[in-house]
Amino acid sequence: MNKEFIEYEQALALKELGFDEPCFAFYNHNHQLLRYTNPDKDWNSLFNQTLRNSKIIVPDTYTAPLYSQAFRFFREKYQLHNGIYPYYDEYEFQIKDFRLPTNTPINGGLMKYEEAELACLNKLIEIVK
Amino acid sequence: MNKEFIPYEQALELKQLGFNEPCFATYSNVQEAGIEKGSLSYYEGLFLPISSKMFCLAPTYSQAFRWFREKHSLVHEISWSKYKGGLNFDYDVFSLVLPTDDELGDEDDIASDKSMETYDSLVDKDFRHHESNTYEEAELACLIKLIEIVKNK
Repeated sequence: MNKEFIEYEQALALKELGFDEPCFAFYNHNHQLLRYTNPDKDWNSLFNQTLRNSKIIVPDTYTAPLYSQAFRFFREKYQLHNGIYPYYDEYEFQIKDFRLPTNTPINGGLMKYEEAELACLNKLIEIVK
Repeated sequence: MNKEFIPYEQALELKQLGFNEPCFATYSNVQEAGIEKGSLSYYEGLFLPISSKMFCLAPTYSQAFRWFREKHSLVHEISWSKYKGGLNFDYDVFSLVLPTDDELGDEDDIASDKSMETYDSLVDKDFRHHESNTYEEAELACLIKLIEIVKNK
């Protein structure tokens, strides 16, 4: 199931880019992936705790979005659309930036599906940064 | 976060096709006090559930697509295009199992040349009749197609 989540470094980058949505898991200060036992309640309590005392920002923990959440974030917030496509035994990714008048796709790969997914996410982060 | 999960109807079909992997959420299979049949609940326990009569596992779209990829060698893609100022989405499905030499036919036939091997679409295209207005619509249409392909195998 851990395959569903983006990695710590990318989770940190996404937070810096403004990702702030409820997630099923988070990374603790040791970069371990931990699942919320109840995402609704845990997320709310974490959120409320932060609001109650703005000096407490729950340090060193970062929500861990699913890949699909991360890609949706780029799609909806930055109009950056991506796809992962099979090519012979491997996969490549493609990104289109619909903010630009001429949206020539950016391609990358060829690699295993999960590697292509990660490479695509890194490229999306790089584009927005 | 509910957008991440496939709908109840498709979750039931995936179960019939043999999907039984840990999920973050379940759909209720029964009508109980205060709980509607087919309602989604995030799983609260320490260990993620496996299937039961009381509930149906609720995979995320990415789990479902991974399952089709790894178990049935079926890959999908969601594509997009600009149309009348907006975006349109479409999907396609490919089998990673390439045709055998027998299926390819005559050796002299250009299609039998191994260097020309490509994945053929399993979706009959009638000039982009699968177009959807949102990514989520295309994702669901694609999932329904994958289920249909495996059912008809």
